[in-house]
Amino acid sequence: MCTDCVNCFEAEYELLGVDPDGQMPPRSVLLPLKPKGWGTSRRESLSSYFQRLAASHCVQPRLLAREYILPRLNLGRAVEQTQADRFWNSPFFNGMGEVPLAWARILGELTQIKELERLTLLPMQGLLGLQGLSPHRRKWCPLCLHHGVECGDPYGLLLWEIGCVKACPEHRIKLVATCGCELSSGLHPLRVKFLPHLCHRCGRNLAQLPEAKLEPAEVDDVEIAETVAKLLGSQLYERRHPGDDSSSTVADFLNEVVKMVGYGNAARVAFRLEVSKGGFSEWCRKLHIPSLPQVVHIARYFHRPLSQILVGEGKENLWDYLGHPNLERYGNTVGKVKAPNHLARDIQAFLEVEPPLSMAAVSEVLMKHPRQLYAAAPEMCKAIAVRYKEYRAGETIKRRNEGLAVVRELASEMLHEGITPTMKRLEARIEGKLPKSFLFKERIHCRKICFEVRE
Amino acid sequence: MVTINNPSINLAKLPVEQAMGLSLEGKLQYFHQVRVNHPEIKQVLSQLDVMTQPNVGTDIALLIGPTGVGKSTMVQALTEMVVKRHQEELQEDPGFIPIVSVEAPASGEQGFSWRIFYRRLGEALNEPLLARKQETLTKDGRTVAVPASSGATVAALRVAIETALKQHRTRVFIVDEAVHLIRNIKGSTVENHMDALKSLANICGVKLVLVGSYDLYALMNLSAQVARRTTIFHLKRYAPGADGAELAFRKVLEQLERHFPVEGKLDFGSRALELQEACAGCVGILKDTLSRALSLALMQGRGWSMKYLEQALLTPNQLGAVLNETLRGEAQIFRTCFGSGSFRAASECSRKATLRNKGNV
Repeated sequence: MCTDCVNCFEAEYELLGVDPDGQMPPRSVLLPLKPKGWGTSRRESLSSYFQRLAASHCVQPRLLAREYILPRLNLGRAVEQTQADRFWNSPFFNGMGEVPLAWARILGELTQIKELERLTLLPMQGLLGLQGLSPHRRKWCPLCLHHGVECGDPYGLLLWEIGCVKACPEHRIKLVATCGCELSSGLHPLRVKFLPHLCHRCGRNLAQLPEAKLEPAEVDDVEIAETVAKLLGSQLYERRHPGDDSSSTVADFLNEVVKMVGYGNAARVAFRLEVSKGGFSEWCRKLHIPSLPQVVHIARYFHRPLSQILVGEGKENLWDYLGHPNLERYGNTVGKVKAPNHLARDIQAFLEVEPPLSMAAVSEVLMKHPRQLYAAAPEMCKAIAVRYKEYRAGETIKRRNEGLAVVRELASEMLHEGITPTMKRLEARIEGKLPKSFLFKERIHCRKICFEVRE
Repeated sequence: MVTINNPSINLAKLPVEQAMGLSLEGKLQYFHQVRVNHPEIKQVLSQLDVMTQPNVGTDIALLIGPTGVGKSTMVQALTEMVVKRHQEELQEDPGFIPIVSVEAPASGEQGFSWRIFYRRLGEALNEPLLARKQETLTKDGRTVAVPASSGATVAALRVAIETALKQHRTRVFIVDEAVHLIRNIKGSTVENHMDALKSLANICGVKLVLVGSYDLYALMNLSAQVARRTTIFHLKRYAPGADGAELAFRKVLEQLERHFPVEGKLDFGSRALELQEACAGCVGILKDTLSRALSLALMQGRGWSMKYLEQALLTPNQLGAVLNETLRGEAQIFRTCFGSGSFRAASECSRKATLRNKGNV
């Protein structure tokens, strides 16, 4: 160092505490825990995040809420003291509305973790109705929890906090709602007393459920869970904010469906979707927003991802994806709907379909009103109708003869057993073989059979 | 006149011209916050910096020095250096606390109060609800939380601190006035205390820096394991007559003079040698002396005079006590602080130990 140089002197004998880089910037009030499964379909729920946050500070979640969250909710001291439990127990955590928004905001401020509202259903605010959104019971997949315990950090999925989800899409088992202890029958969904993988009443590890209790889920439930899981992992869920414009909604998609598939007739589409005409009409007119289970049903019907339908997208190629289960009996004709200018040729194909179809069914498959079909090919339509009428008549006779044969057989059996066959005795025995109404309809023939057998 | 409403404001950033406009209290506060870095601090800091890196074979660092040598300033310098190095990570992660400093309490109780110590550490780590920490126990496969209705237990506090140190990814943990850990404690309790600290450092992966006077050297004699894993750093005073000490002391004095918020000609340089002797070469004592002189000058309100400086000096008795303790301590830790080892010394030590052992047999 030069002895008299001012710069060297300043560098060697500098003042401490004046360099801004040497000062610790303000730290977060609570630990900035990273949410699990961020940006994927396995994203963590806000309640699970809060449980883990409280556990990492070694305090009860209820205490942390009372000391740090409730005062920031600006409820007023009186409300805080008298109704704190209501705010604690009410379904505020993972759903939609002002309370989850406030919780996500306050927790975000305290932990300095951004966009915690993505751990709730808030990104879907304005796109989904509230009905049936929250579950009535706490539920979980023991295998997912077990995997989490093995990895060292188990957490609760947002998927489990949705009412209509009853299965785990990954393990294809039913979600479990009880740990098996006497105390836990019907665990309240929102009592976040402890950790996500512990029963809040008995403290048992929820990941250690006996394998015998794991039941395979119904295919329908798995499909529903998969559809919802895809929504949670979608770009829409990542990008949308609670206050975002919701001018394009599921109503736009439904209106397009009415225009393209129902030819302007909303009732027709409502019938196909098996929903009430009034309700469907209100959805289309944006008077009401369909609930998540209803939107899931629509999405599955039209083979569209929820993330498209909810913002009014996915309107293209609707014709190609029509595959309603009710139409399966029409065999090869399903999903092969042609453009309207080939109508006559299409109708012709139905002249030889086995078993024959009614004109109503043909119009259903071809997506045309019967009147339009008659206008396009009247002779062929009449032929189809006649063919179907004959087929139905033949089927009726066939069924009647089969029924009468069963009655005769039963009457003979009774006689062999030493019982005189009568109508009343036949009625007692016929259950499971024929409908009871058959005996009433064919009572004359049945009495005759009884008489003949007795003779 | 500039007034100071917020006592936590960093006045050291103010230029001295502005500090002249402060109130009496403000001026005293300003000078109190002025801390000068000097070569001795820099040298120890660079050694300490190496030893606080991960995987260097040292878990505990003892920072020892005479009273008033500037150990607290050293802690501040170390904190600043660590914070500066991790500035990018600090911006990215709002929970990251790379260094934490806490003073070991002398609570007046008979033993060392771990409860107060953990609570202070918790406060330094921004831990919420320290009085309500709960313990969780697992029994028969069931996890039960022990409610903290009547305050957190020491065990609950310990678990909470361990979790917090891990979660905040703390690298260096400084215990100032660490001598309180061993003072008035008898027998194996000192070892227990060291074990508690050592295990905290091990579990959480932090480097422990114990700061204190020469009494702290007693920790080295606790066990071979502690001795092996501990490195001593000696923060020396600028002893009169030592090489380069006079110049360095003069420069420190010059820097302090620049920030001395009193109008008039000061000329501390003319009394530099005398001051060095009167302060036993300790920069901290010099600073305290100047603070007392400043206070006297401001109270009198008649401008600066060298008589205030003379009045503010330590009394001969005080200075004697400081020197006695310092000289004893310096003799005690001679050849034990970091960097004083050599192959020759090691061979001699080994030979002597073998002979002593044979003699015993």
